[in-house]
Amino acid sequence: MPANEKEEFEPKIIAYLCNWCSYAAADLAGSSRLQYPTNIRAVRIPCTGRLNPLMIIKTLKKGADGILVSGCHPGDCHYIDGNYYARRRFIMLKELLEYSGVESERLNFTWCSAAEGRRFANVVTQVVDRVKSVGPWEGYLDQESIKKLEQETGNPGSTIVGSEGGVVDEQFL
Amino acid sequence: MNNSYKEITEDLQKTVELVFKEEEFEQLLAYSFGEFSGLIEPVIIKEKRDFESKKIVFTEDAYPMLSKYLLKNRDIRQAVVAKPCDTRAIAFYISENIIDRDNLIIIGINGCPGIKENTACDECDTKNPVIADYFVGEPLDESEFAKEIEEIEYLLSDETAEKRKKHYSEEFSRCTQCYACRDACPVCYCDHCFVESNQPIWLEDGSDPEEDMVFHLMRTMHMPGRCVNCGACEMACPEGIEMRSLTSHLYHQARRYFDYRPGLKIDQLSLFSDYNEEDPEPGFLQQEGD
Repeated sequence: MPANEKEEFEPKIIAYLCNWCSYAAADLAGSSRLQYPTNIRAVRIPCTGRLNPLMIIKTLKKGADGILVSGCHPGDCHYIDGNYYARRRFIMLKELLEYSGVESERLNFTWCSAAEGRRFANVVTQVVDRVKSVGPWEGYLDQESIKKLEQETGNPGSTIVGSEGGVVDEQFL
Repeated sequence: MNNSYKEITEDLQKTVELVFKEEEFEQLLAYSFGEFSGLIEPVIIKEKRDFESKKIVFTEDAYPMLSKYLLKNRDIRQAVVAKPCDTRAIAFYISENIIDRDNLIIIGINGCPGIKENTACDECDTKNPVIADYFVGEPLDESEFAKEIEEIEYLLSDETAEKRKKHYSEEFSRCTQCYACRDACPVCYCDHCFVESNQPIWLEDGSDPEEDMVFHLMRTMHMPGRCVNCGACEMACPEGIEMRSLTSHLYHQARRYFDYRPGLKIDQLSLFSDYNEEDPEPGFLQQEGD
């Protein structure tokens, strides 16, 4: 049942959390016994300024349905201005990924201080709802046009096992 | 009106002769006809007698970015024939301390008539050199090429997200990851590029259409605040992939959000090494009570 399947879809969301605030906010939400969905996988980073934008591109390539980046409020960075630099990068990354066809619901940026456990729980709920509304992530490519292209041309350079075309020598796998 | 190629070529030859008389330098980078191919090629002229045997020209096929060739010999004093987009790349090098200003003699081309089949020239917003020691041709009036943010139009800017996704899927499926776009780009100069990095591994081995797309996304993510919108990436692509609309989009968005365009001054910080506390936060998550 396709309709049922969509209801059961549980997204996998990678959350990059700043060590000094959002990670502590997640801790606070836990110790305050606040309920929030279990779809996020927290990754602790020293500062949002540490987050290389390529890491987000690669996270989506590896199959995450959405990402959340949360850092200190502007002006409250532990390293004085790391999140100001990060903010510019996120804006450009968001522009790039949205332009190339990634739904904006999958890319979530926010600020959460260490005292905002309740806000963190609300943010996670909001993010999970947003990602659920766009469904599972199918990759950067438009699956329909790729299938059409593969029917026409095959994928002669492919080294993926079981794919059409290409010479795959099993000793190298 | 733009200068014609013929006017520029004539003026260029006179100016280069003058530069040889007045300045001391070790090599000159310019365009000339290839010895065997007859096509426009970059040439390196080291002595005056070479200059007399090689005819320096500027034509509609002069697409290689000579600024890129400066990087190979950044310790010696060089002269270069620079299109306006080249001068922006050079200004960017100077602002990033890649090259010393005293080591450069820039022969800038005024009123650049553009390069054949280069879509970047249609949305060009600098047709006079940003910095130059010698000028060739008549300067254009700024009102003829300067563009307001509202009137900017670029490839695919009016398409929907689904159409663009389809477009890029089809374009990048032809990519063979030869990295010609990276090698042609005047502002790609890292000694250790992410595509060859094996710790961490950004790009995986083997061929996979999605990996090609990821390569282009990662390459484009390095471009905001550097890309001078010269179109060299697309001119270099052997598969004719239309990839410039990605960098072009970020170029115009950086201008819209931060009023930032790279390579306009030699003392400006690059986009990502600077910040403003009042930067906008488009699309950032908000909660009640924020």
